[in-house]
Amino acid sequence: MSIELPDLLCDSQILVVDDVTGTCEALETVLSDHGTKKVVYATDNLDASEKLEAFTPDLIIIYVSSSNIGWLEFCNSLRKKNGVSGIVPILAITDMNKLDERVKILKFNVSGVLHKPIQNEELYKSLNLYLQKSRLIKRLEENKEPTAADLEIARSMQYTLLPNDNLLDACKENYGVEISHIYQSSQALGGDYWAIKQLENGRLMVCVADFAGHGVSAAIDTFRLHNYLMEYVNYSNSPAIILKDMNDNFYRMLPIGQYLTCFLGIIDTSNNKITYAGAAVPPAILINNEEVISLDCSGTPIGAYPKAEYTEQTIDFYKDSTLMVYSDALIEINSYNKSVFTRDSLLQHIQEWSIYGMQTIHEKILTRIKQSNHHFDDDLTLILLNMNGKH
Amino acid sequence: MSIVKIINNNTAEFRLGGKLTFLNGAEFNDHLGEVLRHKIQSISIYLDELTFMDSAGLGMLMIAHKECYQRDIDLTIYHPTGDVKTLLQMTKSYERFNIVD
Repeated sequence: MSIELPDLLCDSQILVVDDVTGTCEALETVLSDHGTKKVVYATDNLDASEKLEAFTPDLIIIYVSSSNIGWLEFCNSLRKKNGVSGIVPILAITDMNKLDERVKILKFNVSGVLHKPIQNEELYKSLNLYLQKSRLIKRLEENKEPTAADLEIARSMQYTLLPNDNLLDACKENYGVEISHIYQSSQALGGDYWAIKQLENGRLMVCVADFAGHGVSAAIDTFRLHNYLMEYVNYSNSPAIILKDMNDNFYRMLPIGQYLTCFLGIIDTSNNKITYAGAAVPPAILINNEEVISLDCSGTPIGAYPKAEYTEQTIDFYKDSTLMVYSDALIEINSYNKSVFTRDSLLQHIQEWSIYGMQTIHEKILTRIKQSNHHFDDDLTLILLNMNGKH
Repeated sequence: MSIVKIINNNTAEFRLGGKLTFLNGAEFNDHLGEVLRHKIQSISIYLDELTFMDSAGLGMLMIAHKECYQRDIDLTIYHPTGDVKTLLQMTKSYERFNIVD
């Protein structure tokens, strides 16, 4: 997407909380230099409470370290006692790297965690994304229909969540995994999401998710999922455990009847294996040496029930293997009772096309979509990953 | 989507036809709400004629399941076929709902 998000920092007031005055001043300088409308800092919770009586921030930054871990309670009290609206983002900046510490931070009404060291550009971009999301939610809570401009901004924000060309190039370079993708939302905003994350020790995470429903509410949930994945997946090698934890988290957040389906795989390039687990997504398809294998990805949808267990499988992912993961729109009928593929016909076509490389398969699927002139009622995501080895 | 609703003493029966999707899920929800205002002990939902259900449609069945559970009402889903049955299988709904093929 070529659309630039407007810089909301220049129109925002930010409260910075840290017990080290020097850090507050440094951040105040960095933000002011960027043109932030107003930056106020506080050196403890009492000071912050006083400042909040005379000042309504659009975003709060709180430094959390092992020496002031007790401040996490302060994040709760900010929402409860100081009347800081739930839509005002509270971002924790921390240098804590241990799993239990980071998970603890996320459980304290914090909107997100940024990790030190953080570059200025990364900081501006992150703050801007949280401000954009907050503004959109505010408009919805005020029962205002989002304007076309709002939707365009939200759409641009949503695209920033998806893997960009730099990341895809890095996957090819660092892991020998080439990725092609199709992503299109049926409305201005979509409930589909996909992610790639580079992990340590030659491992690469791939996730394709589909929130029930479409439009703004489903789109907002994709931001929640993005935050969750970017934080949590560092700490587990097990897709089944990640999905179970994801379910625990999203069950608390989503209303009844709202849920997401998800494929989560971790490619281990050190031993040419992929371990995957599914939560109610259509069968993924693996092409190994022209053998086409349908991978069962059935499972309890994420966030639908309080407790769910998931099973994972580990399979070979050799050089030249291709994995295809897609959302159900590809095989679903639309309101005109038409579909591009059925579950069976998709498998048959992939078998027929398995002699070709990944890019050709991608092109053939695209051509078929175009030729069928299909109107998608639902968001469509399709990811193809090819293990072509490091160059 | 077509909805036939029959309330008889303390039982209610829905017969759904066509497609249950995000476009008409609210309609089913309205009918369910009306049924729940009666002193009902069991609800049967027949899906014989339902040809398609999307994720939002399944969400409506989840809501019905939850509402019935909270009111101690027996909910049974009957005769899903084709893509509807596939969706219920893919989402492990047979483990959550009382479904009769």
